[in-house]
Amino acid sequence: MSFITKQHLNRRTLLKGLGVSVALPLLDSMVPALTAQAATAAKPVKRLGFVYVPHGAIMEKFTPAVEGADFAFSPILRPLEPFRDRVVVVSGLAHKTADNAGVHSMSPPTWLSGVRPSAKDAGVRAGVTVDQIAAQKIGQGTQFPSLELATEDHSGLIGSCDGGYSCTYINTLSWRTPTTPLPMEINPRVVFERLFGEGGTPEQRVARLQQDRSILDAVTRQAGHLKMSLGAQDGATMTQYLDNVREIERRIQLAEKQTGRQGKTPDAPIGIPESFEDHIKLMFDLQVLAFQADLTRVSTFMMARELSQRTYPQVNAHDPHHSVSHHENNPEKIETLTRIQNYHMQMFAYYLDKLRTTADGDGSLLDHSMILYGSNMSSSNLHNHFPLPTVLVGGGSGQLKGNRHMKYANHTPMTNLLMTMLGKLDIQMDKVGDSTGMLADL
Amino acid sequence: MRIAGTLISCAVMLHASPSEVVRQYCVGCHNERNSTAGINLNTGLSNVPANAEVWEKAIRKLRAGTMPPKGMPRPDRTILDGLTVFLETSIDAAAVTPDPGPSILRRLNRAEYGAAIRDILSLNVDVSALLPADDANHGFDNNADSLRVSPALLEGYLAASRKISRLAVGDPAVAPAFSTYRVRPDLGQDHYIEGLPLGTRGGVLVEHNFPLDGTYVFKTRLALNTSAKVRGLDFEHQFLVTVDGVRIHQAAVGGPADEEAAAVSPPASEVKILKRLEVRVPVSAGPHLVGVSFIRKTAAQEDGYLQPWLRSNLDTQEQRGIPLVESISIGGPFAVTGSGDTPSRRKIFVCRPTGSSDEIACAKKIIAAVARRAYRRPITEADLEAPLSFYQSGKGFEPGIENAIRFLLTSPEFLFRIERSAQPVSDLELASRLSFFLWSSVPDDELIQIAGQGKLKDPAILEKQVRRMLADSRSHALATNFAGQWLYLRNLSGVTRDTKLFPYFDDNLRQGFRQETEMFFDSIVREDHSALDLLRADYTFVNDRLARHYGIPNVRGNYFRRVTIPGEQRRGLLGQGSVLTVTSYATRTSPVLRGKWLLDNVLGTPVPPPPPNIPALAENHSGITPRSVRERMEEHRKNPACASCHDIMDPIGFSLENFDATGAWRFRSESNAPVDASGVLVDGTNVNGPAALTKALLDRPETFATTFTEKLMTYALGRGLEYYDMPSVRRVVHTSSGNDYRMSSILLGIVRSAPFQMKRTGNR
Repeated sequence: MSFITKQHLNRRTLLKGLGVSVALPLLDSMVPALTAQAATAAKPVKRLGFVYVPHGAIMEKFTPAVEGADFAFSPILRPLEPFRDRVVVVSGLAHKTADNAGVHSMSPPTWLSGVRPSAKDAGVRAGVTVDQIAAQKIGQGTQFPSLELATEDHSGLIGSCDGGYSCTYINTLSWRTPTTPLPMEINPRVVFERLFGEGGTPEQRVARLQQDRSILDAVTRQAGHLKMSLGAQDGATMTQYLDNVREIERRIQLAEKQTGRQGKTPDAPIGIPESFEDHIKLMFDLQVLAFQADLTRVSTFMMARELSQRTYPQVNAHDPHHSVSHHENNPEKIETLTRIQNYHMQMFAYYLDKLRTTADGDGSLLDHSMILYGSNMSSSNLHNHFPLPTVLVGGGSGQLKGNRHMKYANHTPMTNLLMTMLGKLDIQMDKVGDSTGMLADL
Repeated sequence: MRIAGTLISCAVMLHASPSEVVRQYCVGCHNERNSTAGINLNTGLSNVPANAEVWEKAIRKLRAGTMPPKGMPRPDRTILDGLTVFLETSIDAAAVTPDPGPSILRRLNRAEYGAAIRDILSLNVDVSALLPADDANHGFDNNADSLRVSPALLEGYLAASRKISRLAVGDPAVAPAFSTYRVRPDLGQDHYIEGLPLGTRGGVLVEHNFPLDGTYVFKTRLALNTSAKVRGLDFEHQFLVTVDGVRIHQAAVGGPADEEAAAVSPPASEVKILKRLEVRVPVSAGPHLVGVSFIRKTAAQEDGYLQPWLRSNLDTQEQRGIPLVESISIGGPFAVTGSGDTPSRRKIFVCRPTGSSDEIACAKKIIAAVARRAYRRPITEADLEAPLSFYQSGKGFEPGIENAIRFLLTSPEFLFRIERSAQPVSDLELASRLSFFLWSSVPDDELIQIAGQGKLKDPAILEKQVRRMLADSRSHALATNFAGQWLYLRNLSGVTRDTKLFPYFDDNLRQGFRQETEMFFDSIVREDHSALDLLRADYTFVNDRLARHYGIPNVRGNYFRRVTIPGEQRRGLLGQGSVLTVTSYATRTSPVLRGKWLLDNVLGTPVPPPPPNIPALAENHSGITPRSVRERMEEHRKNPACASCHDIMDPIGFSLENFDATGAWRFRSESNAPVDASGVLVDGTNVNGPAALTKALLDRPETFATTFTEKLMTYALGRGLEYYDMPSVRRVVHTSSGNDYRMSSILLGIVRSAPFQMKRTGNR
């Protein structure tokens, strides 16, 4: 009945919802009684973060002029100056696997994998990304092996991602397996409820988790039966489904153990804020909160999307981001683009500041993190992938020394950096995508 | 002799065999040695079907008129058409039993999940707050290959099933909570908004699910100005809260006292005002329409001086103006009195136990009815085992039902579209294919019943069911999900326009555009018009706002109604603000985007994606920036790497230059020069202006009909089309051409086609 009545209503103002939340625009005011259990002064927990921006950078305004320590911050990097002792600018890197037609579809899936995804006819397939490799190793003790977050609703990009490739490639940075892309959530409230549940007393929470468990048990039995009646291809889909069910069961077990530990659950945000800046900051708040509560140790965030046509009036950039990124060497457009890129860096600095001011064991979250910030394009005017704008920030629990601008041989594979980062987390790999070795002295 | 020579060559060409045409015009580039673009056409024409995969590519190029390319020898169009028909006929004749393609197990997408919940439990929920968004592939987000499963999705299913089952059953243990609905800041609130009480202006209408009979609190926030005061306090305004159109609260905002208080302390005065707007009232459980608005004052008291007929909230520095609603929060339930009587409860509780003796029997009946809709098939005793055990884990009858429903909503039988039968698909599987195609939802009881009796494949019954389903309001899903993606209407919600250049562009216009095209598409389907009417219809749907935007006179009032379009320039989809806006930038039109849109969605010949490592554009030696978009594009096309595709895209898009970046008609372009709307189609046809473009497109109606059928079939099958699907596509197009491409003949053609009715067996 209701859908019939709807025909007579003006959809313009008709909002629908099943909201269960309390208004609170930012999580700033929350001081959760949560801390990482495993973090002790002797053995600090390591966190790994990735922050991605689209459309490359104006490299002349990104790369510091001199190498080594005490380099002068470039116009785009300037917001990171307060974190100098934790900043390593890494220059000279390239991503060869992104060098292909359909550049906006190629950039996100290759950034953390160095593996070129399949074309349309071959099905949706890409390489496993390093955030997921890390999640398999350092994320298994936490409820969420990794978090995948983004801003900007990709359903508003129809028609732009389909040049021979699935939109999946443009929508996510994280691939758990070559056929399991992980969706990046943009709604802070959904993220919040995943992290902290729906609130209630500890008894209510335990009861809910127990019901979840019994539901999953029954679902596993049913899917098992179903699988037997299916052909090979469909059976494989069901197997994948069952793998995911087991992953959720693992999370529920961990959540059950932790219900007693959780203090007062912070209040939930109400949804996607109208202001882009509030949205970005809220997503950063959630990542800091998740690190702080040791709900996850790996987080990947797409701060803005490939092909984004967002304007940035807050920095006097009234031309849409993607349009202006094809700057045609027009000095005015280059200036505008630089302002947008500097603005993104300011947002990143907000995240770093939160990490630095959040105590963790004998130091701060920033001391115990390694956060990679970058884009998988160099010049947005040329659609090329060398040299890539890349910054690594954080103490890495003593593994990373800041205040450096490291310049490697031109066209050094970006995957060498990724492999080096994994090494600092004691994850030894023979190869990551097209890597040729580790980066010396990083 | 010259004349004789001409005659001879004409005679030769008129009787040119297809082999000769291919030899003369194609194999020079496309041969074994030099297979340009990876295509070798020197395989002879004795067995075209054996090389169908390659020949289908050639057919597409020939149909589009892009081969042989510009600058190469090219015969008359009729000769190329002759070759095309020969190739198509050869392939189609061999495709007596075409490969129907794989049927891949896939999950419901987010839109289908929401529609299924609506139809199974009579409950409208906002799925975007429950499940992650789906990825589109081949243009649609119901594509089997991109509907993957992830831990986040499963967590979403678990949480959604809990919330939905609780709300549907009316669990008395539901904890009080607040839901907040925000108004987009660029919604114009100076005028009446449809659905709110007559005589009001601005505000918002919300459909809210009240979980239980109880007391609820309604809190409204008003917009602030840059000095953090509530906007528009200079005069008194009457604020109004309604539930289902009935006034539950009225309060005054503004006037001398409020203005003085705001001058002393903006935050304190805001708290005081918002407290006055707050109201607590008992509301019965179920969905209700909650409205907040202001009683309209006379125009003399309005204060929007920039463009007073549109919106006065444009200027963020504005210190005066009128009060505007920013958000409404609904909190509760408090003082619960019962679970109430809701559409969901009526749908679920088809029986009531009279005592403990018939409790299980009734529970079984309820669960079987829900399961039948959720699993889309008749239910066996074995199916009831698992949900019944969940029923028994509940503390009481209703909590038990809630648990059972929760299980059903997490069952893979609900979440996945599973087809287990051998080829062809079973009647029940066909019922699901039909309902997900036409409704984006589960089949209804009638369809399951007919399919359960094995009657759905009877051609007369199948046709009757398709017509019944199209007439049903649920087929609106074709407009929102199919057309919403095919035409990029879904992109509208994220579209913004530069406020300096387009001060009138607001949420009212944005939503109006979408509503217009959805209603237009609906009317083409429901009234069974020709698909060509999508391009040529002389009517559309507008309200006063859109009519003013389009220059259509004598339309008063906020409701959408059908109007005849004066003149020929704005006919069909290419004259609609939705399409014209999503193919423009925030500051200007984009002939490139419009050209690309036309190639992808109307002509069916997408251009390849841009190459990597674009060579740097030559410096602009003149030192003068080209002024018009056309000049800039021409500069761009001087680069051969860009030109190969932009030479095709841009000239088509120029023919729509009379429509600005919001779809309004204009005589002067961004550079203030008179609009030059001369364009060139791929096959070299010159077109000047939108009417000429539409006419040229309609000169070859099978091109658009084929593209439309391809798009619809991709959506219907949930997979990308392959070369072996093309005989089926052409059959639909040919059959419907005898019927002026009526929507029913295209839709029925797809439903009757091999890929829709059959599935691949073994490995082909």
